[in-house]
Amino acid sequence: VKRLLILIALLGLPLTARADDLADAEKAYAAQKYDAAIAAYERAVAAGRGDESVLYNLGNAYYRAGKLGKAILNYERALRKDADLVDAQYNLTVAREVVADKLGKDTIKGAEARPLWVRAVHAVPLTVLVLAVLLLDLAFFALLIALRYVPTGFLRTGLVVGTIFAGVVGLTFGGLLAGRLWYGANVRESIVVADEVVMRELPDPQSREMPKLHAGLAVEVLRESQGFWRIRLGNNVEGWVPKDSVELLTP
Amino acid sequence: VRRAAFLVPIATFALLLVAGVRAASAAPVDFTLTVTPQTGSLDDDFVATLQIAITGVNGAERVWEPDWGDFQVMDRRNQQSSQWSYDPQRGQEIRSVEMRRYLLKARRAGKLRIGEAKVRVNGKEYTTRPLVVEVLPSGQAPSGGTPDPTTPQYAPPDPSMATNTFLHVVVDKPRLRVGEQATVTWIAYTRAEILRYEPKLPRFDDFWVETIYEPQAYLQYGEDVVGGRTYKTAVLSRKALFPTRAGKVTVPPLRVDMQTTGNPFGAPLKLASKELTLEVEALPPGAPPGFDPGLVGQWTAEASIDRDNLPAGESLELTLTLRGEGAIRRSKVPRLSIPGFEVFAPLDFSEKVETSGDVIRGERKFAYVLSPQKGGTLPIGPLEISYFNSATGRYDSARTDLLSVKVVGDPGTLAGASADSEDNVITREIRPPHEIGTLAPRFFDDFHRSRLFLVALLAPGLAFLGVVFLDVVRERLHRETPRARLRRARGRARRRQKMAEVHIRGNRPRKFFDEMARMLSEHIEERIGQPVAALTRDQLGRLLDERGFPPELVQELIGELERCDFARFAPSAAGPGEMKSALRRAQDLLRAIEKVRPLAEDEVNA
Repeated sequence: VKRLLILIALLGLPLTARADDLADAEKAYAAQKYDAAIAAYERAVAAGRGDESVLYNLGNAYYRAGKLGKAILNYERALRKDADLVDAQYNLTVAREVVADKLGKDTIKGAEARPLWVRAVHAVPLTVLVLAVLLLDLAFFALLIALRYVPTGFLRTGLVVGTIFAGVVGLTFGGLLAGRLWYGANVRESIVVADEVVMRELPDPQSREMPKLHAGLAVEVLRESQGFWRIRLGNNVEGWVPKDSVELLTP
Repeated sequence: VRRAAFLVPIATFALLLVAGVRAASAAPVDFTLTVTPQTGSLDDDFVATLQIAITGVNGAERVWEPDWGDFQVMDRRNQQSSQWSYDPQRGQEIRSVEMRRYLLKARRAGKLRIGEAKVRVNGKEYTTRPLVVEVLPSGQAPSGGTPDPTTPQYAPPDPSMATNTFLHVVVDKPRLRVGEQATVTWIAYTRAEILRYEPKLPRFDDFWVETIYEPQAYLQYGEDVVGGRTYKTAVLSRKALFPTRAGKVTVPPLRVDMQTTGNPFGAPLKLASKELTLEVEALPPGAPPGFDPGLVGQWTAEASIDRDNLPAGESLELTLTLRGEGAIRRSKVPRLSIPGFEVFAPLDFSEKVETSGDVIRGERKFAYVLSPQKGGTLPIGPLEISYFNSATGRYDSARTDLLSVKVVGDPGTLAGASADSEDNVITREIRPPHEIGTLAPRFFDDFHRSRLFLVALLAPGLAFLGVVFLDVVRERLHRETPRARLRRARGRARRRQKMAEVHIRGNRPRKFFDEMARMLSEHIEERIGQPVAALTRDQLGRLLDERGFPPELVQELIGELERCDFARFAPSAAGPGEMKSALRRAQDLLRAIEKVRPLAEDEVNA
């Protein structure tokens, strides 16, 4: 019994810590101590408590603290978790407008829309995709097993139709999930978090300057070198920015 | 003062009445005599038209026909109509038009004179000028007609289609781009006089259409010579067509029901023009962002603001004027994005469109409301409106001049200032944070990364494979093979042996030997696949011989079975020792039976 109590206490410790962090963050936010709120929310996220509401609140704390790039980053992260989070959509729009007014708006000329398959794999939330694939997988094989024991009749016809349906839809969702995971693993979507950063031709602060980028701009990180990220803009222009000026959407 | 005030509306009414009477009793504005054709031969019919157009409701008191001289009047017809029109100075007015048409035949060749016609309206007389008509001898065709001034230069009709009355359609530009203007004219050709006509305009599904000309009260005639014959021509309709899609686009035929002097009392002629096909080319790729496909032609833009200095929190009006040649009515409200301003697009616009020339031109004015977002001197423009220049064949932009406006104060600080002022200005705010009630970690957030996901994904498939495997095993177990029979026989023999051991322990010789006999018989049956219980010992011996059992084994088997029979009927002779040795012999026999591979029945028959 003693060992069991110790085990329960050890298991409950992280939850208690996270609960404390969130409570601290909420108190600090209410007291308009936004830096303290940011620190507490970041601790909660680092402890694995980064659901969409926490990320949204973290975005709000950054917004209030005047760190617009980080605010946009966290709103985008919240929307990656739940694309229908209307508060995050709204605040993201406001943050982007404030950036455009105060810092400048980045217009990427010749930017291409994301390919259709990328838009398709991002159209459905990841949790829905995972659940759908598992349930359809289960349904498909359960129906296949049932088919072995129903040799003839109307019920068998129904089972055949159900099996084909579950198979086709399951494959579709499986393809979407595979595409989503491949994209997440191979394309490192990022956000410019610095208010303003100069893109350079080489990973060297003295190299030729390219366009200035502003907070909130979505870029793709390609590789790292000498404390710089090589990034690619929406129109396939590539350049280097200091590492701390850009953060990955999926750390 | 009160009496004067009472008199004002009476005086106004009286003035209006006088003006109305004056307008109603105005003099005739048009009294003309025309003859077509002005050059013809003795074979031709000539039509003289006397037109009396009078402003007001009164008609002519008396009309004197001209002296026709060497022309003989073959037919006379009158036509009267009224039309309403609007005069900017005199207001709405009615106009009566009387057309008198005379069908003439020349009596001789030469330059023949037609005298003046005269009319009396409201006691005043008006006369026309005398006319001279050139008449050629019979069989001589005139050299050519004078084109109608209302028609453009157009392709002449095909002489092969030149019946007495027909419709001709011409287009000024058979190859053009989407949105460019093509002017299409439908002309009636007739050698008689048109008494009445009723056009049925087609549907122009693939065009944006503007009407350039359609006759109002009466037709205006011209002349043309087709295949050596003089025709009177009258434009029935002229339209500017702007194609809305690329490819071969057809202009459907105009259909007209027409009554002429050639057939005044019969059924009207049903005429139709030819169908035109225009080759419409798509606009080239590379249209600038925000390009409005309605803006094809030649365009200029002009911008003006209603004030150039305003306090923070107020807005100004920007008027954008688009002017040029093209389908102005097809253009949309341009979307403007002006840095430093929130732009409210106009809900309406004013326009002036000139359709009387051969090219549609005009202007549209859009009034935008601009709300400054910051203080200081803010530039407006130069605004650029993209259009396709049909003259150069490229995309171009109409550019306005650079304007600037000075905004006094900072609109961004108005929210704080509102507490002190009467205006309640509410700025845009972000939405508040969410309450985070539950502490349960989100299981599915990273579930796809865990091994459990792989297990959950593979488990149904593995379960299915397991079911299939079990089915296969079960099926194989139930299949009737020599091995299966042997396995079954061994199982039974094992059970019989256990029972026999029980009978030994219980000292029940009859039951023991019964089990022994059954055990051996069943084992033989399983091996040869045939029942043997009903056979006599001799029959069994023969059967076993035939099926390839060694003779010694057969003898031993038969001997053992006979011992069992004997012991069953004389059980007192068998003690436990005898039963145990009988069991050992039976086990040896079972092993010997299993070693034999008995012949199948067909092998025996063969």
